[in-house]
Amino acid sequence: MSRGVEGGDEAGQLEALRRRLRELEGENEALSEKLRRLKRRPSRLSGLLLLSLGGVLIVFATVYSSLIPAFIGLSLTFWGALLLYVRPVRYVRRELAVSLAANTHTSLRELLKETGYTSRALYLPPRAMGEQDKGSLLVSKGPNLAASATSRSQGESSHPAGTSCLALTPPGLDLARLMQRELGRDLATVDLEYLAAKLPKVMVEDLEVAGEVEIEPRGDVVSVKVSQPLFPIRLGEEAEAAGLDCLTSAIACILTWTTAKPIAVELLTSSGDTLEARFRILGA
Amino acid sequence: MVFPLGLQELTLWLAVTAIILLATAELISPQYGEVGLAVDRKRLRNAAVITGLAFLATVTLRVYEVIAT
Repeated sequence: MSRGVEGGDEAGQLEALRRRLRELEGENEALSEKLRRLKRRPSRLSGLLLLSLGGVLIVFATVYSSLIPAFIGLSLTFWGALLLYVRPVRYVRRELAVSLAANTHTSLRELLKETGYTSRALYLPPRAMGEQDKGSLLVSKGPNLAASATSRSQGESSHPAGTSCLALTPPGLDLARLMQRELGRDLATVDLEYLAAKLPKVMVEDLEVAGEVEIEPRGDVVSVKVSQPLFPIRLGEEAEAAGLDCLTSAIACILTWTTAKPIAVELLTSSGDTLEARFRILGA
Repeated sequence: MVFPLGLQELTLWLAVTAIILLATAELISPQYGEVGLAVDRKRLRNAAVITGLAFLATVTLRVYEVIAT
């Protein structure tokens, strides 16, 4: 009888999850439509218009040997070309990017919560050569996977055997790849000092995902402080599932590439608009 | 049919344009979303630097002309 009730509960939860998934898909569709509309900004049209008008004026100035149309034509041509060149094709509005990322993050967290995989994230390095920009994320049921892995790496024998784990693609993997592309280096060939010096610039000036970033490697611990992140930080009651947000995940992925060792998100705190994270390099 | 602008005019035009672009590229907010202007900052900076270099090249050319004559 009780088994029947449990079965009914599970079916209800499954139905609720499916409903939530449909809602999220609907929101995703609406936001994608909004993104398509944003992409049709008139900057391309303005650029082409300026370019063609400038061209006509340059021809006119050449035919009639006139100085003023030549200056105006040259300027219009230049600014038209510049408008086309600096056109923000890769940019979307901050609110839109945040809402898209938040949906994915929320659904992942809810899914893990529902299925009981609530341990902190453990990031694993790529498994083979030729997969340098890959990696996976491990979460477990019950005991804190990162803590048990840390104690294992420190030689302690007390770790739970047969822990049920779930391997996922890290939510920040693409962002990490983007950072690597902006850096222009294979991150498997650099050291932590190089990362500490160069990664903040990429995050602040090139990708603009944060206002200020400090990375401080100290032994087998890397402390990261991110101020004014693009994606708002929501910790609190779900702190146990921390380490799954896009930015923390991307930094953890990069650390696994550079060190070729598993990375545990050891501490994650937020105060105001500042996120502080501490990553432990396991087996260092 | 001759293009009416000479090297001197081009130098002046490049100088003004380079100053505008360099100032814009430096002053534009690093925090995307806080400003109404949406541009690729890296490309804008590249364009500013190239324009500045083009201005310096015309100046060098002028200096060379003066020395040669």
